[in-house]
Amino acid sequence: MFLVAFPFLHEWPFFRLFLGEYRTFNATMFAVWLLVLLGMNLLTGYSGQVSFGHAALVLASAYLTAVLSQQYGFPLWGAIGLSGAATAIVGWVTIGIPAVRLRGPYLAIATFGLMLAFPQILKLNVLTQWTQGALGIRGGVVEPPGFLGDVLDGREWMYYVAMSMAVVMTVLFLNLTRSRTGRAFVALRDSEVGAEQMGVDVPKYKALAFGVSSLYAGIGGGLFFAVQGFVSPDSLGLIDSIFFLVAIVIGGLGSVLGSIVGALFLTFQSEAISALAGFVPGANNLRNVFYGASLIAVIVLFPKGIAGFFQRPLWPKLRGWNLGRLWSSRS
Amino acid sequence: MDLFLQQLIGGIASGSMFAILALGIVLIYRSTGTLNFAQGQMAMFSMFVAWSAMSTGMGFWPAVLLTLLSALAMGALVEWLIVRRVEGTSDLNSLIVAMGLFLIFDGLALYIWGPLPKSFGPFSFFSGGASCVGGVCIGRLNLGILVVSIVTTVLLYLLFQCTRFGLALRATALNRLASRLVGIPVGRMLSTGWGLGTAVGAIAGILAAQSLGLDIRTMFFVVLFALAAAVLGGLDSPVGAVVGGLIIGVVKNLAGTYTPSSVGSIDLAVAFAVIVLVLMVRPNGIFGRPVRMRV
Amino acid sequence: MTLSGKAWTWVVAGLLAVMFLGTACVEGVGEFPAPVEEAPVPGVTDDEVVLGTHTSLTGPVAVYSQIALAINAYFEYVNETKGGVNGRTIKFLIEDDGYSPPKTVDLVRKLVEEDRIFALVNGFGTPTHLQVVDYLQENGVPDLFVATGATEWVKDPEARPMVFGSIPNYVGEGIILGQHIAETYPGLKLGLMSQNDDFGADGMTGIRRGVGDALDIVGEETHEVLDVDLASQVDRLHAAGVDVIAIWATPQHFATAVKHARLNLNWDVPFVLSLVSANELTVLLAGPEVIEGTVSLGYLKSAFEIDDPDVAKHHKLVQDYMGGENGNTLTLYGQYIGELVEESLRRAGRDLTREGLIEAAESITDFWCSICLGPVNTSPTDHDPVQGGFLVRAEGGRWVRFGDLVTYEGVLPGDMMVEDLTR
Repeated sequence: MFLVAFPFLHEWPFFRLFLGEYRTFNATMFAVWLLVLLGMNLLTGYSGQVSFGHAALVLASAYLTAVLSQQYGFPLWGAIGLSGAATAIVGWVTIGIPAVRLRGPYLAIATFGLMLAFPQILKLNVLTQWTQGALGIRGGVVEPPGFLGDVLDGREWMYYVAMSMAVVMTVLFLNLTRSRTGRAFVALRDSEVGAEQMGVDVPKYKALAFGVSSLYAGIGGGLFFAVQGFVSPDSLGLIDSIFFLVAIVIGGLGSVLGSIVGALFLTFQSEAISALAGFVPGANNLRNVFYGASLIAVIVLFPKGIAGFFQRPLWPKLRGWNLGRLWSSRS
Repeated sequence: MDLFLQQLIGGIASGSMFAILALGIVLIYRSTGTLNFAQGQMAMFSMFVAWSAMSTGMGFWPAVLLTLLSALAMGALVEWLIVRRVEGTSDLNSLIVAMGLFLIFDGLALYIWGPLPKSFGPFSFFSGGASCVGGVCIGRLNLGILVVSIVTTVLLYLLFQCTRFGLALRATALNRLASRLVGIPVGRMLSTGWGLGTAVGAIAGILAAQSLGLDIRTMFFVVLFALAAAVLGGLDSPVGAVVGGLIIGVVKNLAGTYTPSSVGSIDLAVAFAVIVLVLMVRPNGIFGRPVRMRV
Repeated sequence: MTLSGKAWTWVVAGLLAVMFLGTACVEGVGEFPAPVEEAPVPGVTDDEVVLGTHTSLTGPVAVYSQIALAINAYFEYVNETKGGVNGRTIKFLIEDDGYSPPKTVDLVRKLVEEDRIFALVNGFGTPTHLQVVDYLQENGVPDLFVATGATEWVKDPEARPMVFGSIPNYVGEGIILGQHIAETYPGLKLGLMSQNDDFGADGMTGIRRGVGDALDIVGEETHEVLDVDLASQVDRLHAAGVDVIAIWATPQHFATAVKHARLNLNWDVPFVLSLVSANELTVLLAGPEVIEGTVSLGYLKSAFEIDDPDVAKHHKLVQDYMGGENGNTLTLYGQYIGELVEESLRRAGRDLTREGLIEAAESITDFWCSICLGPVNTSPTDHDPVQGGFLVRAEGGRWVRFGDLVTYEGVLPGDMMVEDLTR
């Protein structure tokens, strides 16, 4: 376990050369997005619920972490854990349970409303003593603990923390999806009626999926604040929220690999589009056309996402499942 | 009381803009099950087409007609060329296609027409002053928007309920297999659904341009409210889209007006709280048909 | 742990692949083993200095990409006609964040850590730039002339020595416009409209201070960026019996407000607006008749003054180096930034360091850029280059200057800013 999380700790100069400063930051953000997308994938890929509002959960947890660590003197890591737990409960009770009756696009837009309204809530006069209104909350640089201070600088420490959290949570994710609970999620994604007939308590598991998913979003959000050192009501926007969903569908629903590919997509999208536009002179105004065309091309070529194409299915039974059944009224 | 009535009129005016765009979203959803996030940017594209037509010296109404025809063709083409490629995979895939279309139309408009806004309207009967009764006013601009919205809705209703063509469209939306069996050209109907939806979107775009101006971002945020309206009314119900749009417009205005200022502004939060509450009671929207569940 | 051996291999292989292939390979395998001999100052070589910016080439506010493109055009012009500054040509890297703060972070860190820019110039957008301003501070990267008037950039130069503003800050601008309101409409009722964020809050702070108790503030309305129009807000002020409106909004929002008042309410209430929306965008969106008589602030010459040789020269620059037809308010602003950067680099001398650039940028005295209407002054306690301008009034779709040069300098001295503006 230790070796997985700290693969080259004993060879740190090598590591530093290998990655470079910016790539270290990329890898750190990758870990953050991976956490968020694992949560999204659990919700959509495993339990069949669609959320456009996960950025609001991430933002909420980032804010909670910021308030706890900056204003109430909690240690940063404790604040992240606490915010993750709080977000999980909020997601479970206030979103998961009401969402039980909603499906497909109805759930998607209802959660999207959360994302639309949330920045306005953060700026409410009654909350500004904690949220600082539109100006946001600053975090500052996170220094490594004393005994590592000579070996790592702040950003490398951040990378190891984020990446090891991502690895631990990935392992937990795999365990969960293979447990009884995970199989219940899959059953209700494939057919709610069928799951009910098999004795799955559908509302309970749907709400639970939202809760677990929110836990991942919450830990991702806490790390988001720690990594970026700043959070404001505009730190994550509507487009980011939509692109979380785009990322897992492109990456591949229903597998960890899908979340990994999705997180890579989120991490490198702006750079990739920049590079793409750089190849064609005078194409600055066409960036979005390239971007949109690539999205469509990927989903047409890989209807089950990129992971779905490269990966042998872990559960042969799942091949050919169609989320569409839950989405529309067509028979 | 004056303030209340004025807010009501304003809410209905902006709500009918949402309603018409939502109507387009519903037509497309009924056709291929795509939640069309690109609806706003496609409407924006059509607005620019209208502008281009008018800048060659064409009159307003001929330009509108040309725009509607081109939007019809554009929508059908998009369905035939792109959306059909993901047909039968998963509705989330068609959502990705919609996001792709959103980006493509956004980028194309930027490339063709540049980033600066264009001067556009108010034209024809939209221009002119307001008429006031007491403290309550209604301008030609708002009146025009209302009239066009009502006419559009009525025409669509007649098309769907009183023509064989409308019957075929409805049949395809209800049951594709059975429609094919009775000899309806299903593929063509799906394209037509997209075409109609895009054309209705273009009407919404032209209405929006009269009051908001013509700009790449004009529809960027309108579409969010239109999506909410479509969901609130029920995604497979055109009547629902209209009702949903009006509810959102009015609720948002009233929430903005009657929240104490010490709290801060909260109109968006209230509008979406209302949507969530309605969906709690009616999970498929106000007029939506329940999803049939099967094993 | 209930994982099977196979799954373990899979997890580890996947994550390791991502950690290393995903990152190292992008850089190119050939590069990593050689310990790079670091240049003493990032982005500076014998004949070149590399600057960068983040802006919105795409997305809802793509129109403002014109600013960065105009800055680039000006730098190209300087490179071609003057051989650059102090013998170094300027290379300007423009990254597109689409107005999304997480992307801004990615791209700014890429500019600083990968592309090794010497300084960031004219980062665009308050929410986007807020997300990176402290990163740039902590890493000692000059953050010159940010493209918004938020007081965040200028209120405490000691805490944030790297960052400089560029347009009159919104509080200062609000004070000037507030004083104009107080002088023109004493004893009447004032209505406030603002965007629900720093931009609006700063502007309203200024307006209140400028107005003092000369007018009664009877209505305060805010709106969100994603509000479609401001009709509801205008209706409320109308019902409150407001005589004059001060508004802090984007061109799109302001256009809907003024259009609604004039066309739907027959209400010719005077509007006093932030210079952010006193430009061609508003004229195109609302139409020249509708905005007639609205008052704002101008600190640069206007694009319509084609008889002015400097403005004519600017239009030529836009045609030659930007491939555009004509300049506008945004491109003029771009040239102003370009000239300001050129002046800072010139003052920093041949031996460029980041500290030297900051010292140079905060010692500009009485500098008149070719299209400025007033002098640019900075000091170690004043990172706000332009502190005033002329009042302008819309006439036939153009905002025409009237009165004398007005400034908030002195009204808002350095120390006072820090204390008064920290909310």
